[in-house]
Amino acid sequence: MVIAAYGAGALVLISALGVVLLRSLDQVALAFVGCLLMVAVLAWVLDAPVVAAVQLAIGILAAAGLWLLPGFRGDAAPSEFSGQLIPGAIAAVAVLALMALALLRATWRTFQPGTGSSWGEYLVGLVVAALVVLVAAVGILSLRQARERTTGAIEAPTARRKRDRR
Amino acid sequence: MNVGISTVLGVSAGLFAIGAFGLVAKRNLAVILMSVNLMLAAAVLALAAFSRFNLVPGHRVGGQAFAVLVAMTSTGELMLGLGLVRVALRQRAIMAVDDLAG
Repeated sequence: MVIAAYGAGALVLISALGVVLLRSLDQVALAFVGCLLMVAVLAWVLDAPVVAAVQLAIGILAAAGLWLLPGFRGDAAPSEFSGQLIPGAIAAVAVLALMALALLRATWRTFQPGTGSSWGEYLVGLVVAALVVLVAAVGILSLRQARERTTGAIEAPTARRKRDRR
Repeated sequence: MNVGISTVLGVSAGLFAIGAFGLVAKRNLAVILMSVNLMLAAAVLALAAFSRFNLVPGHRVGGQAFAVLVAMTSTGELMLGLGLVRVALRQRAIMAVDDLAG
């Protein structure tokens, strides 16, 4: 549980840094959703399953909302750091996989008949662990796609439209 | 080894600081919206920590109730903001906040 708490705390800060430091919009969106999910994990670790469930719902809603925005899908400009991010992303996935395992183990250990824990709490743990793995997989796929795309100068959408008009 | 309240509050403060930095330093509308949400998520974390470590004896659920309230508020703010960003993008092709002034 301590590993899960510290891991989730570190990942919250790393993904929040990704929101303000990454330049590609789709990667920023991915980091933001990951940050919200990590806050949910941290709330769950802090014995607040209701807060965790609400935060999880916010993460899913944010992902859906961002998906509807133009520029947040595959047509966004790739980050110039995409190539360098691959080793970091592999390390992050390893940490996330460890966290998912720790979460599953912790939920299974707390699920003892007569200790006050319930199937609901166990299911929240399972769903959060599955989402952690899903976010990691989507992150890796996104980074691989970004690397495969041609890396050019980063351009704001307004500047790009002005250039296209000319 | 246990996770203390100072650790959780440190993470919360860090998250709030990163959100505040994004709010004042970034120009992209959507990123500013996300930064505000990061600050609200920091508040949720702090409230959950206060609840977990029983800072107010006898009111253990109070912190969680406030956390849920803040989380719901942030959901509304995010959805409304994303809707506004979408409309701004469609009508005037605006993505940077500076373009709104002109």
